[in-house]
Amino acid sequence: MTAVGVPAPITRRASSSFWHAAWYRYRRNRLALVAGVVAVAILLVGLLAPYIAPYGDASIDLTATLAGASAHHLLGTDQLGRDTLTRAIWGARTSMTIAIAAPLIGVAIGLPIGIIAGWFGGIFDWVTLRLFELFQMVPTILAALLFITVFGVNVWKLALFIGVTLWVGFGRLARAQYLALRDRDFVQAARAMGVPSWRITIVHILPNAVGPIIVFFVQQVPYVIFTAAGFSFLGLGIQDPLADWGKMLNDSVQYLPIDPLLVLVPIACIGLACLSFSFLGDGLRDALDPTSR
Amino acid sequence: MTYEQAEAVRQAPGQSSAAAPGANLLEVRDLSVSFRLERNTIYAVQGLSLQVRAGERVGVVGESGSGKSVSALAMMRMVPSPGKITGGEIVFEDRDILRLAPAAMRHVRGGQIGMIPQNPLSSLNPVITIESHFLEVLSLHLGLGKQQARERAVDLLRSVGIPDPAKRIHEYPHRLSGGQRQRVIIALAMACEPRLLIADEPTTALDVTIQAQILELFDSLVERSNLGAILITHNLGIVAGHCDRVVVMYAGRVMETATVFDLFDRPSHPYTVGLLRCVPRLTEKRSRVFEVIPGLPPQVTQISPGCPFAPRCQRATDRCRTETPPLSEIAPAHSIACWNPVDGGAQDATRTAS
Repeated sequence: MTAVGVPAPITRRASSSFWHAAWYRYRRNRLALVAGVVAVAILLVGLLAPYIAPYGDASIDLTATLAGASAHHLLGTDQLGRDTLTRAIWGARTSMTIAIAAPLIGVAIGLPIGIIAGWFGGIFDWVTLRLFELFQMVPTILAALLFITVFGVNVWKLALFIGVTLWVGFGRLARAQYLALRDRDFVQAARAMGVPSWRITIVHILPNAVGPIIVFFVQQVPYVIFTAAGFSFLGLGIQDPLADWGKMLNDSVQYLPIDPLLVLVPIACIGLACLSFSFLGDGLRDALDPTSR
Repeated sequence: MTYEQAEAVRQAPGQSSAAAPGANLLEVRDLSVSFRLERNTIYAVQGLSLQVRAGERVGVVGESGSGKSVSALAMMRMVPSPGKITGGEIVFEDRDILRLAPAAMRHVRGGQIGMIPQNPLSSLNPVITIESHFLEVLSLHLGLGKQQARERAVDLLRSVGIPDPAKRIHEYPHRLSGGQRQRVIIALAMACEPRLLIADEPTTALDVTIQAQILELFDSLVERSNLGAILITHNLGIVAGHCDRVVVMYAGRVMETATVFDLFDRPSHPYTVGLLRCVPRLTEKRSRVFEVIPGLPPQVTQISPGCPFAPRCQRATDRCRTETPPLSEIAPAHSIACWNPVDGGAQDATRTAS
């Protein structure tokens, strides 16, 4: 050991090599790059909604209902005189909250179960597989309908209901990853060094499995956005006065002949969010998990 | 090197005192391992017995599927499912490993028995730095703090011949060459001052020049720390150069065990003779056609009477096919399991058998 302080820069350079390589691969994909910028922009809009929206999210101006685009209301107003741009911005907040929270709930449930099944195998694996089958048998919409009728609905409950339907995917993925990694030489070597099982699963295997899990996470986001909007459109999701793209669509369909913007804006929002996150997901897949192509 | 010197070199914190010189460090008695599959059961190891003394290098040779790797895993109690240790005992430093609690067993693995796995290229975790590998093991077994562990890791890496260890320690495994990775693995196996080192074909994945370096390192470590060592290989050349005693395995059984000198000079089991005849020699005529042992080693799915080698043995008699030969001593420290051994020197044996 010579001078102290020498290792620090080396550590930084070496530890980021995986992410460096991933960033290099991601950067070469133009579409993913653009999609990533759009996705981040939507997230930021949702996060900063209170500061950037021109009006209050529920402020009503009954003197200007269905007013159409103007200098005051850039994208017009709805039947209650609420500013469409404001509603779209607040809608992003609702959508993004659910879009992030639901897969997180899916991961929180699915990952531990998948890890146990894949690592311990045997009876654990058998039970988990049957559990996967059981949950996959139940149609998402029906299950969510049941939950909503029994427990009511708000943003967090909706995220929870959708998240619960997502856990099977994360569970299957985690199980597959652990099954594949369990017999790898470095895992056996760690066992031979006396590393306890729990440490092997978390310290040795999880970092090797995290790429595909991140990719799957992002790929779930468009599905969640679409499902949440779908529920709201059907009147089962977000309720007034909260803004949501799906609900905006539902509210304004009947006013389509008067002001098409009312319908086009939420459709554009949903479409843009779904597309950007799915291209982002594809880009991440190619970048983080190059073998899966 | 004397015993005291060896102890001084080890300078292990909180290490139990080693067994008395000459006593067996590891004694495997009548070990059996079988794999219960859906259709049948594979008896991978049947009644293996072997002893390892401190400072002694024991070679285990045999063809693929002869049960050598499974035996090594059994000594670490790491036989992969559905395999099970069905009998015998493994006494390591006066304790039967097979009866240890899981937590105590974890301490034996890596702490008291070091293992050098077969494939150095894939035995280090690709997403963890070399340093993290060492920190984990050193804190698990010796309870060292980060700073102490880091210093010790650098020393260890230097002792196995990694250049510029203070810098290399921060690298990820993929930045090292195969030979360097094997050195790192050896350093890891040695990190916690084990008493016994099990090397499962440590050089098969490396090229020949690196093989020689790694085996030299292996020899020097065994000598310096007065370790017991088990070297599993199918390469008789390695056995000749780097082992003190040899155990020849076939179909999960010990066929012959002897000192290296005796085994090469006076092989007595027809199987050993056959193995030796497969090795080309520098001194013989170039036109010689290489001899092979006809047939393949069997997968033992039932315990049947008779010598397992009998179907491929040119010297087999009716007795060989019906009665299992026990392992019996024919000379001091030289035992074979054969009803009809080859006697005389190897050269004679080669001639008379053909």
